[in-house]
Amino acid sequence: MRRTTCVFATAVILAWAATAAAQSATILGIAPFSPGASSTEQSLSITGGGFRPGLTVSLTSPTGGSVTVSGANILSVTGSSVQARVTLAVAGAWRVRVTNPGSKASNDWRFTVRPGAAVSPPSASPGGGTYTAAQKVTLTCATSGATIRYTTNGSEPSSSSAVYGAPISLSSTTTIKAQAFKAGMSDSPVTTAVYTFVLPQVAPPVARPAGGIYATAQSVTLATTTTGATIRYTTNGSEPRSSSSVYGAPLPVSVSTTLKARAFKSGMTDSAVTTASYAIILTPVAAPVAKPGSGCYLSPPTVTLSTATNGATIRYTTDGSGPSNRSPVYSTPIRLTNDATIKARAFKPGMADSAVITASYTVAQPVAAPVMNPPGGTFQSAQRVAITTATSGATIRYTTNGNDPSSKSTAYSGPLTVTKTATLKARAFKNGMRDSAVTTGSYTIVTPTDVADRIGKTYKIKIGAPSDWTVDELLRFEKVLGRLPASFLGNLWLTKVSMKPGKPGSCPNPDGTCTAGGWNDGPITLNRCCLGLFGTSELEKTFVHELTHAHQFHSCNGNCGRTEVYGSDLMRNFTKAFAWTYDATSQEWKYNGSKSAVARDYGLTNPLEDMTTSAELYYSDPERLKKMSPERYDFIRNSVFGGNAL
Amino acid sequence: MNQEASRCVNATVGRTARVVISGILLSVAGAGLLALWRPSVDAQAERKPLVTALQVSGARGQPKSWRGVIPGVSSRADAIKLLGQPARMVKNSWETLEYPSGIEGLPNGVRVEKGVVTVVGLVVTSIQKVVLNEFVTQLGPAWRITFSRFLDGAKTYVFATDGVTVVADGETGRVYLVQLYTPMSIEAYMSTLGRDLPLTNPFIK
Repeated sequence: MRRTTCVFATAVILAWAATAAAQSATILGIAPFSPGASSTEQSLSITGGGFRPGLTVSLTSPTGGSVTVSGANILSVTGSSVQARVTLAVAGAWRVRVTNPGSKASNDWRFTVRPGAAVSPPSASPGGGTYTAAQKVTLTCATSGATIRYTTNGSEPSSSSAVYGAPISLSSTTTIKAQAFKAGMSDSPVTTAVYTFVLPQVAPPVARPAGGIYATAQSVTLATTTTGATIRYTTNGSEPRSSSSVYGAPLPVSVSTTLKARAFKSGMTDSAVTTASYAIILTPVAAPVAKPGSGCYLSPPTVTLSTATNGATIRYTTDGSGPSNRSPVYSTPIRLTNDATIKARAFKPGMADSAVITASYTVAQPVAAPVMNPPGGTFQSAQRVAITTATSGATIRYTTNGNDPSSKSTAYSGPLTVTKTATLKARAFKNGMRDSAVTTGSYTIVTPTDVADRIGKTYKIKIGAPSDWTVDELLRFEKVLGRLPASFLGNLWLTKVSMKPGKPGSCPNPDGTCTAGGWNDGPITLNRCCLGLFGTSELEKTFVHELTHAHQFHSCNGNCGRTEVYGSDLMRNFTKAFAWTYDATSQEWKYNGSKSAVARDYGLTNPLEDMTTSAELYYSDPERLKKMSPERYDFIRNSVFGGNAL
Repeated sequence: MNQEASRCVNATVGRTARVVISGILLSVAGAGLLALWRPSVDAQAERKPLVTALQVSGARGQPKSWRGVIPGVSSRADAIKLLGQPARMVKNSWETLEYPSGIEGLPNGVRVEKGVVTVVGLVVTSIQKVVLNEFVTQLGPAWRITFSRFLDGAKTYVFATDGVTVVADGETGRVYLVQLYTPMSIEAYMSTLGRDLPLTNPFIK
């Protein structure tokens, strides 16, 4: 009857399922039919119809809790079966339903989870106990296929604890708790094994020298009697750890320090901590001594610094700041020309820095240096030299013998007359002040006669009435002579060179004209009043001009009247080369060449002046002459100046 | 103007009067006489010496001759006959017969215009040692003194009514050049032969 009912019911359900397949799934059974309880996941196969991908499986436990399985935990889906991974940890009556995406849930399928068989508890080997050496503990389980999970921190193992895979190394006291799991079976009971280790301890480090009070820096060594142990240390007061600095070489201790050290060795208990406190109280370097010491000085003092400590370095400042190990090193005596404060300190490695010494110096200011008026220089006449100083009340003393004035030298009382070349030295003195610097004035008195004599001796040229010349004029004439070649100077019909006295600008010619200079059958006469009109730059050109005339008139071997000069080879070659012709009845020279080739208009006067103006330009600006008239340049260079370039 | 030049200006008034009278006489008789009478070469040479060293002759107020050649009187042929063949002849507006002066490149010259000698230019060497005073003594003060471009310091002394112009050193009086021509007024000279003479000092350097 019951079977008939079931068959009927099945048929009805199948028919219903066929029509409703499109909407919802139908569960017709599960496998295993009655799964065993287990805290591990197990596979549950659901059969029926209308299953579609994306479905979810909902489980309701005997206690009323529900779990929904979906996604990756749905292992496979066909239209008539679903394979799901589920955890059925509690024995009793469970319900399952399947819900297709977008559809109503299937029918509930009730099934019973029977209590599962327990997995055998894990075994530990060696078992818990007291050991004097490190151990490797092996965990095993009698239930084939079970997974052993364990803890070493005292907590209870769970399905998420570490999976045992290899022997566990122990070297310190440890509690191992282990449990075995297998799907479809009850979890094993927890196995607990307590391992107690009693290891030998590394000998503690020994510090040499031992901690204490020292007057110098120390070099501390650390050692342990345990062979192969590593010593680690700290100097900041903390306990040394396995990550602390490793001791390798003696430690320099130059300041007070607390040293802590501990020795480590694998398989042994870390050593006890060794603590050594060093109080370094260094002997100070002897303080520097400044000589001379603080005070007020009339003359700039030169200060020496010294210290009684051999090998110490003295550093100092002069700006009032305290000397540091970066301040300038004292090496040579310090000369003070102004008020100053010296601070100094001595340094030496292994000793405390010295005390700072301070020395203050006040330096008397110098008297203002004398001033000479006029200052030294070259003069053409005797000079009255006045000497003054800006320091009121100071006494000026002077010498004329080249020695620096002293407080015993002649006191200045009024302007000095320097009549001949002399060196005047003066210095000012005043009580309470430093002596002034020495002022030197070199006065060179050069008279026209001096220069005229020199010109006469050097160039065999007589200077007429030297007193009519100024020294400057004679020096300029001497300069011109110095530039002219000997070949030129040796061919002058020149008996004397004179300067017509007069004030520049006041022309003496009766006709109101001014002739700067002229050659006249031997002598050259220059006219200062006209030279002044042309400026000093013209002076030298005028010298050259007139000297060239003297050269022209020499060219007929000294037998040259003024008229005959035109008959000399020099002038005939010049007139021929530069298109000058003489009109015998008009008695005029006519220039037939290009006017732009003539040095200046004055050169158009006659051939003599054409040549002399060309010579002027050759002297003052040869390149310009070369540009204006290369032929004149060549002629002047070769025929007048003997082939010499100036 | 210097003092010497000023004296010349004052003297010009008197001299001008004499020149006017002489001019009238010459214009009345001279023209005809010159056409009818020309002195022979020999006669020309017999004139009163003015400056012996230069072979220049002629009394005051009369045309001066050089070696017998008289400007305004002598023909080109006369000149060549008296002086010989010139060293060179130059032709431009007039013809110049050049004769050596003793200074190469600076010849004496005889100007010929329309076949007649009009000007004689002489170059004076230093050996001849001719000084201005020789002219002044015989001819009186110069009518005009101007500057000269020939040499620095030289001046031109114009004795126009004697047909003589001298270029000499303004200070020493040494004569450099002498020019002979037909006597004329100073004005006539300054507008013809002397028109290019520098009136201001050309040697302003």
